[in-house]
Amino acid sequence: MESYKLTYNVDMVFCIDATGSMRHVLDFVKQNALNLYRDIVAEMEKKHKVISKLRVKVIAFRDYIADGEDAMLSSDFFVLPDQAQMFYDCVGGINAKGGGDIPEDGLEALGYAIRSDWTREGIKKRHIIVVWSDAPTHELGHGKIAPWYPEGMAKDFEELSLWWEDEQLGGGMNENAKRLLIFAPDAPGWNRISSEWGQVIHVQTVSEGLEDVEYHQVLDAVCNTI
Amino acid sequence: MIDHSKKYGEGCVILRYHPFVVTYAALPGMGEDSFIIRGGGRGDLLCVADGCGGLGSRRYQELDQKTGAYLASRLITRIAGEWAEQIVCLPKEPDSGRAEAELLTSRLQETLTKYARRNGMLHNNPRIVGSMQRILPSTLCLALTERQEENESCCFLWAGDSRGYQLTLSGLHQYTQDDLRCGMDAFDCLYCDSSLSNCVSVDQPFEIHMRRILLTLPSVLLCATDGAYNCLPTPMEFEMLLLSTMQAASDAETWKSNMEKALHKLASDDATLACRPRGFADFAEMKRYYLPRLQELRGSYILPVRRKRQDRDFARECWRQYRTDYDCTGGTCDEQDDWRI
Repeated sequence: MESYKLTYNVDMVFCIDATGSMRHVLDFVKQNALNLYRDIVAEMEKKHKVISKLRVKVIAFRDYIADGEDAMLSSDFFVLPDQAQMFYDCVGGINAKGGGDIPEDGLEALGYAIRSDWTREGIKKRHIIVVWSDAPTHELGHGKIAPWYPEGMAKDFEELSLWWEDEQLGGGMNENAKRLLIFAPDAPGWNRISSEWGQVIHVQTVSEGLEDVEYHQVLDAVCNTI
Repeated sequence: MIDHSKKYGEGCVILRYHPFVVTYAALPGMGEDSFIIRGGGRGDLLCVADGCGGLGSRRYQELDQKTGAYLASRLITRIAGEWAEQIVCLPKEPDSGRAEAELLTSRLQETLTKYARRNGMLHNNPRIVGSMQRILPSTLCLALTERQEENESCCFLWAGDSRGYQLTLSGLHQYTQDDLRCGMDAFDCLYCDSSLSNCVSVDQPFEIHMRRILLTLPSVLLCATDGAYNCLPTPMEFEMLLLSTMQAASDAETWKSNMEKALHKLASDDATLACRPRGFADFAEMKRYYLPRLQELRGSYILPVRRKRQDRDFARECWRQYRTDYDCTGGTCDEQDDWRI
C-alpha cells in the first residue's frame, strides 16, 4: 500500500478593529491572533491534515469618515514560518485610535478580506477570515463621502453577501475551503452575518477570553470538514 | 447509551457470512464515527454514522465534555438499529419505501430533539453561534437485507456522504448518492473537501434517501464513512485496499486486521467500514473468487495510475473508464428490483 496524504494550502486573513474603544482589549486580541494561527496549524496537524503552505494577511480597520487614510490598513500575505517576524511586527504595530462614533467600518474590512488574493495552489485548501471587533458595523457605504473610501466596494449588504456566497462574484474564496470566524458582540452587522451567511462561526465576545472547551469548539469548526 | 465501538470493537469473533466492522479513530477515544451491525435471521443490518466534527464541535460539559458530533453518531446508529428491528419485510415498491424512510426520519427527529431538550442543548444561550454550529449533526448510511429463497434484496438508507457499496466479480459498485454541495463525482470530491448539503441534525430539516436493489451473490456488502474512502487518491484504490488486504489474509479475522492496519496508515479522519461477505463456502473460496478481479483491477487501473502518480488528469481518465461499472448511484426507477426515492 502506498503512503498517500492529501496536503492543505491554508490562507488566513485577520481583520482587527483598531479603533480607540479597542484600547483595553487590543493587546489581548493581538495575542489571540498570534496564538490562533499556531493553534489552527497544530489542530490540523493533530488530525493528520498536513499543511504544505501557510500564509497570513492582516487588515486593521477603523472608520472612513473619522480616520481618513488610516481607516483601512492592509498587509500582503506573509508566508509562514519564513516571514513570521514580519507578521509579528505587523500585528504588533497596530495601535488603537480614532473610530469616531460607535459603529465601525467592519463590513468594508470584510469586503477587502473576501477579495484577497486567495491561494489556488494545492490539492485541498482552507481560506479563513477572522474578525475581531467590539462594535457593531456601519451600513456599507456609510463612509462613501470620505475621499479615501474605496472604489468598487460592495454597494450594500446584499452585494457583500453575494461576494461571500458566490465564488464567481467574490474574490475567489474556494466554496469548500472558506470559513468566517467572527469575534464580536451580538450587534448589528455581525449578527446578521452569523444568521444569514453560510460557513460562519460567531463568538459573541471580543473582550472576554474563551474557556478552553469553547476555544476547542472554535478550532474544530474551522479545521474540520463540514 | 450503548458504546458500540466497545461492544463490537477489537477482538470480536467474525462468524462466517456475518457482518464485521473495521474502525479507526483519528484521535483515540474521541472518534466521532459510530456503527451497529446485526447478522442472522432473515437478513442483516450494516449501519454507520459519521458525526460532523465541524458542525457539531460544541462540547457539552454535563455529557463528559463530548462533542455534539460524537453524541449524534452514537444516538443515530442506535435509533436506526431500533427502527430496523421493527421492519418485518423490506418495502417492495417506492410508496411503501417512502413511508419507511419517513418513519425513520421522524424517529430520528423526535428522539434527537428529546435528547437535546433533556440535556439542555436547545435552551442554552451559547456564546458561539452561526451556520457552522448545529445540534447533533451526523451522516448515516445503513444497508438492511432480506434473504429470499434464491436471492437477497437490500435497502440502503442514507443522509450525507456515508456510502453503501457492493463488491462483486465486476468490481466495487457505489449505490448511494453523496449529499455534497459541490455535486462532484466520487473522484473529484476526493480533492475538494466539500460541505454536506444534507445531514441528520436537530435544528435543520433533513432527508433520508432510500434505494432498493437485488444483491448479486456471492458478493461483499459494505457501508463506509468518508474517512474510509477519502483517504485514498482514487476510487479504484479503495477497491484495491479491499481486495489486496483480502488476498494477503488467511482468514476473515486477518482480513479485518489487514484493513485496520491499512486504514491506520492512510486515514486522516475517523474511518468506519462495515462489511458482510455472503455466498462463499469459506474464506479461501472468497479469495479465489476475487483473484481475477484483483488482477484485472491492478493491471487496468492501479499500476498505470501509480506509475504516473502525480498526474491527476491521467488518473481522472482512468477513473472515467472505471466509473462505468462503479457508479450505480443512478438507479432505474422503472424496474421492480431496483428503485430509489
